[in-house]
Amino acid sequence: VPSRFTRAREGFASPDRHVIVSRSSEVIEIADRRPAVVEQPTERAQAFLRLADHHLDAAYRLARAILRDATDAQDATHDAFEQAWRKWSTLRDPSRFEPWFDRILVNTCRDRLRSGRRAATDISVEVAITTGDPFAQSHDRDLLANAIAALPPEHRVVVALRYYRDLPVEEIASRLDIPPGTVHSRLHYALKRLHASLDAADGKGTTR
Amino acid sequence: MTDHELEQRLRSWYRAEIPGDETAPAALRSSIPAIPVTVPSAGRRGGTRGRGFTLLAAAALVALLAGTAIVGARLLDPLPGPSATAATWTATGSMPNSHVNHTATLLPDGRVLMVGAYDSDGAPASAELYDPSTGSWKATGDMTRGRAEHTATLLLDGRVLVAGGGDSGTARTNTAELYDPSTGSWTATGDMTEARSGHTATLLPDGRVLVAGAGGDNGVASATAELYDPRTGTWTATANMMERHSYHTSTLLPDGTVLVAGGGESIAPSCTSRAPGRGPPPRR
Repeated sequence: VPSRFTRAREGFASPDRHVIVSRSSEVIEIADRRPAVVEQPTERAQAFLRLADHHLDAAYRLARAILRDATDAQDATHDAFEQAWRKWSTLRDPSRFEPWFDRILVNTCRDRLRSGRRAATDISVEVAITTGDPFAQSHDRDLLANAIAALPPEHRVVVALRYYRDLPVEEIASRLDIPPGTVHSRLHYALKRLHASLDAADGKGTTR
Repeated sequence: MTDHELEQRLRSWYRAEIPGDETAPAALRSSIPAIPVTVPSAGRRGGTRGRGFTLLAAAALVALLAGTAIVGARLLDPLPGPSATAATWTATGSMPNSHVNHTATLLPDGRVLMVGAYDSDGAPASAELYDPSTGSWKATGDMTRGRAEHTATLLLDGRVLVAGGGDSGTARTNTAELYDPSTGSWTATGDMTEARSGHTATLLPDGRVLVAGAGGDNGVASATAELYDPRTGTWTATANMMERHSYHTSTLLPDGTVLVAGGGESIAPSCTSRAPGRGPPPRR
């Protein structure tokens, strides 16, 4: 999945859009066939941008916690803010922006994990565990990183919300719109898998 | 290891992996303000769709009007429908210098980068930025050399690729450079495989840039084309066009192919042909 910042934006050349060209015809930008009036940002846009700016760093860090890869996190955060703007009218109370936006962000991150980027990381886990590569296993942080990367997307999300954000189970359940029991079971399963991965690595000659 | 120890290890790992003061990359931060402009929002009162030109269109119009900067903008409100016939033109700040055979490129933050031109002494290396919020122009960093009849292409990472052009009526260059809006500075990148002016540059869906054709010496245009890869900063020749094209148009179509049309080997318009696009079809 190439990065937003190194790939075409989705809908780049959808049929209902114009291609605007300069005299020498380089594509400058794509505009809606029925575009918006040129105007200063509306009040609602300004409110959105204020909140987006205020929460941008924390949102990016949460995306990093879930995805780890900086470029992926950058893409996911941008996509989440686009989604948030599309759904802006559904946010009744601006003071609830953070949990409202977090749900959009974690869903975006989860979808990116599902899209297939995990394959390469999974292989590295298997290599580290099965070959007993002393260089890889001497790096405790890498081992844990690989073990986390091998978790299913839903479990990576709850692990990040629990151990990075330090959110209580009820709050995670609310963010993800799932029952607290499901959060408990995902955490339980995730810890079990992490134990198994780390134990397997330790048992193959780790220096620790 | 107990569950509690593993939980502590996880918390420590996250703290080390993602420092609390880690900030969002500048490219991400600068991309956010464009969202309300470019992304439709559900529930917008009455909707502003269907009424007039976008800021983007306005920027393109700036590009089209050499010498006099006019932004097609604020329309009568409310308009009865999507017709642009009720659009009006409003004068905006004049450019510091007159321009001809320049380029104008909309930046992700809404400003417009104006590059190159011919003047009485050749082509200056200066570049200017138009700020639509104030209607004013200001100088930004100079290019590494003067250019006119070049191309300027916004890359997916927010930088602008400026390629080719000349500094007089006959001297054309194969050099290219990148403008970084966050610093206002220019950096040389790889040279094209041949010197070009009067060519076109088209951003492909995969982020590469297709450069095609060129005006040639003795009135003979070029049929060659090449691809710029922003990840490596290098150019690679690709298949020649069926005909020679200069001062033509090149347009990315919805299916990912690139339409090259018009232009000619000399002054007269000659031909229209369709070249296969490079890169995957756009994602739906």
